[in-house]
Parts: sequence; C-alpha cells; structure tokens
Amino acid sequence: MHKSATTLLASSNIPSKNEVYLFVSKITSKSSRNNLIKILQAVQNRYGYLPEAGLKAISQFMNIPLSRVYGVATFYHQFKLEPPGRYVILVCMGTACHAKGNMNNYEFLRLLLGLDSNKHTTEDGMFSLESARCFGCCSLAPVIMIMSSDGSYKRLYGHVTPMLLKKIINEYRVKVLKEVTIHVGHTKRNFVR
Amino acid sequence: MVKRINSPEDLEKLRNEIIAKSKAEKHVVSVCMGTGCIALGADVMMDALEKEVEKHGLKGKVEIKKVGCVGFCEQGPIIIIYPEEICYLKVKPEDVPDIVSKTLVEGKIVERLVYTDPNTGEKIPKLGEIPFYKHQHRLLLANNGRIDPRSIEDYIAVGGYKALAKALFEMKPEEIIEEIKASNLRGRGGAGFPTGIKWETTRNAPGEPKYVIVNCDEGDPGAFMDRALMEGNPHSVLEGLIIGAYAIGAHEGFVYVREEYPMAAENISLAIKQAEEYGLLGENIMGSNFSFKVTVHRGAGAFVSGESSALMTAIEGKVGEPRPKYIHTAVQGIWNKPSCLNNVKTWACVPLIILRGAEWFRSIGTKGSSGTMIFSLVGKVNNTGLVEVPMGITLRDIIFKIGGGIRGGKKFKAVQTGGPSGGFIPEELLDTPVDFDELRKVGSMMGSGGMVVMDEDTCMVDAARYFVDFLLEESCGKCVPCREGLKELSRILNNICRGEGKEEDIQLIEDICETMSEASLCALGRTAVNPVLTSLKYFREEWDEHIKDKKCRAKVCKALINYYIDPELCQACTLCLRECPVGAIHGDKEHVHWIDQDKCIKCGTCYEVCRFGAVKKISGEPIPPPPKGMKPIRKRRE
Ligand SMILES: Cc1cc2nc3c(=O)[nH]c(=O)nc-3n(C[C@H](O)[C@H](O)[C@H](O)COP(=O)(O)O)c2cc1C
Ligand code: SF4
Ligand code: SF4
Ligand code: FES
Ligand code: FES
Repeated sequence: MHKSATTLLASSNIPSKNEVYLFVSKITSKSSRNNLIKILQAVQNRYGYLPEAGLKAISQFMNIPLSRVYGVATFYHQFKLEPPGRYVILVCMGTACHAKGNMNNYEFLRLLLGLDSNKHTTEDGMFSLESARCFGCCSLAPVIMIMSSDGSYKRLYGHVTPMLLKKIINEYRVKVLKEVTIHVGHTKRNFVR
Repeated sequence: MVKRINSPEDLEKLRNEIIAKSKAEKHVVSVCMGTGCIALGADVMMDALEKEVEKHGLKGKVEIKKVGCVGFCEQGPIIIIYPEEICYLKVKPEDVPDIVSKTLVEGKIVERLVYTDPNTGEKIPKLGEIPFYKHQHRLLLANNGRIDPRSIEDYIAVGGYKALAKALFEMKPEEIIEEIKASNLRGRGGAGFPTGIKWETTRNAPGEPKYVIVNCDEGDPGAFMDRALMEGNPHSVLEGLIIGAYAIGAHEGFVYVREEYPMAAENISLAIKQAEEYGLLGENIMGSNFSFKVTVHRGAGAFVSGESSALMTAIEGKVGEPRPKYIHTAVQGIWNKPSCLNNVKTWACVPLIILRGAEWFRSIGTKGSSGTMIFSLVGKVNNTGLVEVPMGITLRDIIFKIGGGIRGGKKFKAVQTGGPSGGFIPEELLDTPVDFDELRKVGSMMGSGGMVVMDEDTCMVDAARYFVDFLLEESCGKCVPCREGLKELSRILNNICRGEGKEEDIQLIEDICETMSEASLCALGRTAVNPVLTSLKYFREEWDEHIKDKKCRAKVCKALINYYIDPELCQACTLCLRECPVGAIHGDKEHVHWIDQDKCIKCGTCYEVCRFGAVKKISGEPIPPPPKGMKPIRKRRE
C-alpha cells in the first residue's frame, strides 16, 4: 500500500514527539537569559508551528507552568498551534490593503482553496490561508505574502486581484508537486503529473 | 580586521580615506533593495545589472550600491544614477542593457524609464524634480538611496558618527539634554511627548542601571516609515541611541523590532556589529570612557506591545501587556529600572540636532512642532510612498502636490492619520496643517506617521468598523472598558454594516465611546474611539443611509450591495461566467449574461474581470430582474 502523495504531504508537516523534546532540551540549555518568547520563536522557526509536545517540553525544561506557556503562545499572532500547510498564504489586512479590497481577495482564496472559517489548511496539506498584519509594503496594496512553513522562503505579491491570485496559486501547485518526491522501495518517484 | 576608532581624529581620518577612495568611481548606481522593490523583482534586476556592468568592462568605473527604500515603492524597482541623479522607475531585467549601454557608457537618458508627469506628459529624469520628491524636505530620509545600509563606511562618508564624536568629546550629558529640550523635539511614535523632558526624567530617576530603547514595533497597520528608516539607514538610529544613552547615563540599550520586519532586524543587527568593530559601540566608545551595548529584540506580533510599558514587559520575556502608569516607565521601566523609550524617527533626529544645533531644527516646522515628519502616504492617491515634510505643511499639499491627487480621477473623501488611534479628516478640513496640536484639534492625531487617503469608493462606516475590529483583536483584555467597550462597538458596527442597524444605535455608540475614552487603562482603549467618533462627526449621512435606507453609497458593505449585469453593455464574452466561483452567472456566447442573485456570494470577481464595464454594483435600489428568456447581445460598434 502506498500512501498518496497528498496525505504524505500532510503528515510530513508533523514532527515526532521525541524529536521535539530533543530540540527543546538543546535550545533551552543553551540560552543564558531564559526568555520564553525567544524559545517559542525558535521552536516555531524549526517546525513552522508550536507542536503540543514542544509546549510541554518547554514547560518542563524551563520550569514554567504549562498554562503560562500557553498564555504567551496564544497572546501573540506570530505563534501557531496547528501545523501549517507547505505554503502559507498570508493576506494583509492592514489599513491600506483593506481600503483596496483585500478582504475580497481573502474570500476568493478561501473559496478557491475550499476552506471555511474553521479550516485554515487544505485537505492535502499544500496551503494554509491566514490573515496578516501590515507587511510594510502598503504602497503595493493589496498585498499577499506566500511563505514556506519553515519560513525559509518568502515572497510578497503586490496589486493582487482574484485573477492574479488564481494564477499564482496554480504556479505554487505545480511547484509543490515538483518538490514532493517520495521513496517507494529504493526508487525515487516524482509526483508530477 | 578593521582598525578601531580611538578618537574623533581617527574618525575624520577614516572619513577622508573613504571619500578619497570613492572619488575614483565615476558613476554610482543605487539600486533600491527595500522590501517593496524586492517584492517587485529588484533582486532579479540587480543580478542582471551586475552581469551587464561586468560585460561592458565597467567594473571599477561604476559602483553598484544596494540601497534602502527610497520611498517611491509603488514605482519600483527603482534605480538612481549619481552624480546626475537620474531616476529610473519600474526597471525590469530587460531594461538593464539599455541603462548600461546608453546611460553609463554614452551618458544618454533612457526616456521610457523616467517619470512622466501624468498631467503634462513631461518627462522628468532628475529625482529631485519629480513632484513627489520636489515638495519634500528630506532630513531623516536624505541618505536613503545614497548609502548602502549594510556598509558603515558609507554612513561615515556622509558625515556619520560626527555627532557622536561631538557629543562625547565636546558636550556634557546635561548640555545634550538641554540642546534636545531647546530643539523642541517631540516624540514621533504617537503622542508627541517632548523628548528632552523624557530624557531628563530618566537621567534624574533614582536606580541603576538605566536603559534606552528604540521602538520599531510600527504597530499602525498600513504604515512603513519606521521600517524604511531601519532598513535604509540603521546607523542613523543607532548613532542617536548612543548619544541618548550617553546623555541619560544608560549603558545598555534595546532595539525592539516587530516580527514582520526581518530585514530591518537584520540591518540593525549588522549595524550594531559593525559599530562594535569600529569602536563606536561597546567598551570605551571612540576612546572615551563611555561604554554602551545594544541588543536587538524581536517582537512577536501584537499591536499593544508597541505601548511603552507593554513593550518593556515584552523585552523581559513576558506577555506584553500595559500596566497602569501611576509611575512612568521613564522612572520605572524594564525590570523596574528607569527606561527611556523613543520611536525610531525620534532617535534618528538626534544626531542632526547635535550636529546642526537646536536653533536650526526649530527653524523647520511650526512653533509647537519642530522639524520634519515622515508620513507613509497610501490609499487612493496617485503617488503612494514615504514622504518627509516640514511640520506645518497642509494635508492638502501632501495629498495633492506630493501625492498627485486622487487615483483614477475619483473624488477625495477623507484622510486618516494616526492609525487606529487617529481619526478621519474630511475635505473641508484639508487645510489643517500637520502639527501635533492641530491634528488633535480636529479629532485625529499625528500618530507615528500613517496617512491613508480614502476616496468615494471607501465606506466610512466600514472604515470605522475596520479599526474597531482591528483593536478588538489587539486589545490585551486587561481592562473592562476597553475589552467590553470594543466588543460592544464591534457588534453594533457590524450590525450596521450588515444593514441591521437601529436608529438608537448612534446614541449607544456615543455613550460607549465616552466611557472608553475616560476609563481605559492605556492609550489603546482611550484613543480607540477616535476613528468611530470622527466618522460619525464628519460623515453622519453615511451612517444614516446604512441604518435607514440600507444603502452603502460607496458600495463596500457586502450585505447592502448586489451585482448585476447591464444587458446593454454585456458583450457575452463569457469571461465572468467562467470565472464565477459558484456558477451564479448564466448565459452563452450569443446571449446577454445574468446573475442568479440567490446563488451569488458577492465576491466581486465578475466585476473585476469584465472588460466592458458591464457588471455593476448597486446599493439601496431594486435589482433589475433577469432578462426574460435569452436576450441576444447588442454588439458594440467597432
Ligand atoms: C496601543 C499603542 C501602540 C503603540 N504602538 C507604537 C508603535 O508601534 N511605535 C511607536 O513608536 N510607538 C507606539 N506607541 C507609543 C509608545 O507608547 C510610546 O509613546 C512611544 O514609543 C514613545 O516614543 P516617542 O516619545 O519617541 O514618540 C504605541 C502606544 C499605544 C498606546
Ligand atoms: S459577484 Fe462573485 S459570486 Fe456573484 S456573480 Fe459575480 S463572480 Fe459570481
Ligand atoms: S465579462 Fe462582462 S461582457 Fe463579458 S459576459 Fe460578463 S458581463 Fe458580459
Ligand atoms: S497595509 Fe498591507 S502591506 Fe501595509
Ligand atoms: S522599497 Fe524601493 S522605494 Fe521603497
């Protein structure tokens, strides 16, 4: 039985418990001034979100009640508690972008990706959709940013319209399928159709 | 290994060396590598430029400089060629060969890339003569575009760290504070508190150590002046901070940069590292006995964290919530020690004042507000971008002279200053000068420099709702008036936008606003009412229309509008039909299209894609019924 490329994509976003513990123990022992926000940022940078095991590990290693770790993690917009899709689409909801109709673009993307108000990540784990605060590119409003879940890839798109978004999303679909290669036995199979 | 600067003379010597070295180069090509231009492809264009310059054997004769945001982001990617100051806009990689062979080799101008005046059609190649720049007075932004923000040598070449040398070796800390007080510099982060007085309070407050902090949280959603300064000239902010630390008696400082600004954090971190290497930061700065270190702190994204006491708790690693300010943070801030927080722009003013004197600074601007202010001019104006203007200039001049008026020949409706804490200013008050006190008089505020222009297509009820919803999400929830007040305001405003408003709602809104502005703990709650109250005060008719006539004249509030296809204009191109995400459009190649209102989710896609302007938005009027049977199209005459 092979897993389909897409379910594999979705599950590959979730790290194992042991690995998370190891990572947190490493970073918490290193930092001299124990700064919870910095540790949370490090964990999120590593995994693209804050896995439950990570929050527990932080609480344990830093000797901070789990409720406080959750408190800080939920206070700031930056922190995510759910695994994001491979690419995260951030729609700017700043004033300039709002004035130029980015809400419409957001709704359009939601439809296009088949998401609703409770579901932010596509079934196949390819995209997450989020609203964001101003990127400081307001001159190009309306603006969206697409970034990879680990934050290593980021790109801004200005003056977006539903039509342009459709084109962009299709480009990323192709890109993702090219990126995903799975191992079946010893042969590498590339999922481009 | 760089040589440490151990005296003011060392600094001058280095400066002369750098200048002598750069004289050899004939042209300097500045390529904007700000966040905006990179989003528009400046990085790709840059690669092409480097290759092309090399291909023509111009290496050594032409210096390519990666500069920070020059403020005209919308026209990016931007190239400026010095010494002629030729400015090329919207440069694509394909344009690079022409720029190199025509301009750099033959000294000719590539006409198609220069600014064209939309009114006269005149071509304006010189940066300083483009209307957008001509009416500006650039002090803080003067070197954005001329220096590589990642090169301390560039900054030194334009006179950088001269003010620091003067402060450390020619002035006593008290004299510096007196100079800042005399300059009448007021904080550029929001409230316009006199900077000199704040410094003095921290200096005289009991307790050691003392801290100084740069506020680059830039929480106003829709503004980017602090970003541009941090990205484009980080050393100027750092130099101001070091001078301030010396005047206040602080030996440790923080730069708080919001999460969304990776490049700003990177550039300031690099600036700190370079300054340390050159002996301009760290132990015994420039051979004096003053020592000072700086750490960069990344914010995690919360508007309220930009407030002074909240920002300080965030630096301590806790949840960034404000605390009551019976005791000011200038006296008890980070770890309860005296801490002086200023905005990015405030710090950047300091070296200028020290170098050129308080009197010079006061000569710019108005009596109550001296110096310049950087605004991030965005929204429905023709020229969007960063504008630095002397205080006292009118809003009209900013929007019409610098901003070039309203886009698409539409009608101006309002300008919003001060972000979520500010208000909307209507047409009849456009001659209000920008000045801390004057803006407050009309119900808005200077804020930190956000300026959003709105035209007839902006709904003022929706705009007020937008800020309330933004603040509802951002309120830390610690105090009742702010938390509950915003919740209630949001509910009422959303109802009105949905066409479910009642006449008594207005009174209720006013009552809530009064309580919030008086009883909230921090300025977030106290000023949150400004957008609502100014919208009500200046645009009451729109509120009444929403409530009574269920009409949104700007056609923004979804529940109050409908899309319909004008049968006279439709050319049956089937584009909208194919693009409608829910299949609400009916028709075929031969026949006029029509929208099934029950299916339509009002996404606006058809309106966007129709090339014949056949899709219309209507509000407050009955929707014309769909055509009976299949109506053949009326072809446009070719
Ligand atoms: C809710 C709230 C958000 C704020 N956000 C910012 C900000 O993003 N940047 C800033 O410089 N000041 C901000 N301020 C103002 C700061 O509290 C503080 O007054 C300012 O940084 C002091 O610097 P200044 O004297 O140079 O203006 C905010 C204030 C409030 C109440
Ligand atoms: S507004 Fe959107 S849903 Fe309605 S008809 Fe047009 S494209 Fe279809
Ligand atoms: S896009 Fe415009 S012209 Fe074309 S079918 Fe739709 S309404 Fe008619
Ligand atoms: S408002 Fe969208 S980038 Fe600033
Ligand atoms: S980023 Fe290039 S002009 Fe602003």
